[in-house]
Amino acid sequence: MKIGNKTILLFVGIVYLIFFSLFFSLTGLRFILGFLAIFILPIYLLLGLFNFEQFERLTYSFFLSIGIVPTLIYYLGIMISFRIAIVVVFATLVTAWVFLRKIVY
Amino acid sequence: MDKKDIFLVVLLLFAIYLWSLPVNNIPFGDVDSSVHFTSGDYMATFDKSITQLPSYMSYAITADTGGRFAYPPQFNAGEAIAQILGGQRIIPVYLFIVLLCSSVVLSVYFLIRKLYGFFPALLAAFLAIFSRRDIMYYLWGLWPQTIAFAFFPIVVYSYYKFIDLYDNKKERIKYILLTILFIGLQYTFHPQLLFFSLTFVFIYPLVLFIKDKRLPFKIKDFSLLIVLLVVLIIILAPLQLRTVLGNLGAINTGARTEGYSLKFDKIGGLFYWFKFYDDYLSSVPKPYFSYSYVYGGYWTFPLLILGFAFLVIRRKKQDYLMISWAITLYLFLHMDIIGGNRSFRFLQIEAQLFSSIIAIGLIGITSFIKLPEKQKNYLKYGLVLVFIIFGLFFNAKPVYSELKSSYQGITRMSEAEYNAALWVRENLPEDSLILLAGTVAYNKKKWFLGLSFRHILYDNQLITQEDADKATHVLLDYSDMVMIGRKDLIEQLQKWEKTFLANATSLYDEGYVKVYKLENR
Repeated sequence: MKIGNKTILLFVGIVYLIFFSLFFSLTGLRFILGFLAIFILPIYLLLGLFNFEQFERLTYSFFLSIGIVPTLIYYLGIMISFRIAIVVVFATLVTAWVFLRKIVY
Repeated sequence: MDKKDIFLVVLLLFAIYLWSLPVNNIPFGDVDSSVHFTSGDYMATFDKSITQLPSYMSYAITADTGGRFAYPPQFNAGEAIAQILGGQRIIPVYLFIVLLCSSVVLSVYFLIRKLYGFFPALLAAFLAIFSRRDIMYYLWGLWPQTIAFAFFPIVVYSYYKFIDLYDNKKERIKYILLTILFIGLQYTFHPQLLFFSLTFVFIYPLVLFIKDKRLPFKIKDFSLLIVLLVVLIIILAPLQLRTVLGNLGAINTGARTEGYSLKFDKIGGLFYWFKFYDDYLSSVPKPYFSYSYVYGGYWTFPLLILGFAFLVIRRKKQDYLMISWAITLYLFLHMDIIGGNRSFRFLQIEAQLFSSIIAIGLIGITSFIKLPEKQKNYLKYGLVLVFIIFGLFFNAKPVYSELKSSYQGITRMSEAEYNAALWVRENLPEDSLILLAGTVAYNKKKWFLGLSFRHILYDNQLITQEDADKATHVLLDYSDMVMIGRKDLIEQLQKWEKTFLANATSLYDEGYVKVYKLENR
């Protein structure tokens, strides 16, 4: 049976959520959900526009996101509330993906 | 992505479990850890990014930083984001640190998987979980450095692809941009890694040039890489540029730099992979330099030699890449010769390289033996199994004990000390100067400062002497002495309390920790 990339990703995501909630309770769950959503997801979506193999895309998402996302939030956070900056950066990156996807495809 | 890569998830979760063993509701760390923690904590607490460090962190402010972060602020911003996302002050930040520091497992797996296939990747990443030097730096709190090192295999792979895709313009540009991005981001975690990666960027093509007698890239592309990298670094952390240049001795910022000159007495060190000098022991303990300690005994050593032999004999394009990495590291491990004094720090990246070469050496055994394909596979599975059993016994066991027992006792704040720091933060004026007395563990003195958001006066004395006349309050801490059962020290401190704090007003008294307001201050 061939297992698709989306199924593997879903499985891995669920394993991470269970792991973090098991060892670090609600705090761990909140952290990993937030980390996957705010850090990884926007960059993962954007990398989807550049024809990467799945494993490359995932690994690159991790390493790009831990540098790019805090950079954007930090500099925006100088001008506006840090918490609002998190939301704005997330929304901007996802919106950028939506627009770019229309251009690329 | 292959189904086999699910094993990576197991390795990553095992690494996170292991590295998070010291994590609980009270922060830990030595040297710079409290500065790193409190910089993010401050941003999350006050809901704003800061460009200038708060005044109470004056001990972290040196002449060359001009009151700013010594490191680019991205890592601290990441800590603040983690704290906000996790909804708790300590644990989410440490989970963020664990996730990022242990990402060396992911980057090593990724590089070796792409270059040498599944089994070498699995074994290299498995060994990387127990990398003693990474764990040492992680426990001490040199988190940005550890994370920056974890980026390196990603830089190596991206650069390798850029050169490998010489004839495919679109893909070549993609990977050159990724190389620039990763080196730039690596710099945001720790500037010294920028120089390591940059050197590698020159060494690898040089090795290929010697082999092929032609440049492996277009000059235009390479110039683009260097120019864009410089621009990116300026954009990513403009406020830290002055500090970095100052530390390099390129401009005068008041930073202490020894200058660069040829040290003839250290030339002999070139005949060693790494030459140990006694003065390193003022920064790191002796086991840091021991192969046996770092790699779980000598059982991996023959595999390391075999792995090196495999690379040198086979000399495929990926082997040249690994050899270039080894050359780059060799150069940095001998920086002392030109006056550098941090060469031992680069030993941290040795584990990534050696773990990979050890794994290549083990799997390489099967290529030296002539056997039918089926038997060869059985041999491979057998070797992998034996390797994992040895790794669990010799490497995992001591690492587990070390992580499980770290920061027990007085080296981590007690609940009472932590609560006192919170009380200080909420109840004392911002301009208070609080004299610390009684705390035995030096690393905790900085944590009092970081967690209370107030200026704590401390030095290496039991009762702080430095600037003591300026103090407005006293934080009296008996908890360490009680924990280690030093009645003599308790009596000494009680005597001091009765004499010097007789006229002071008691503000707080909980669980062996007291706070006094000094009269007329």
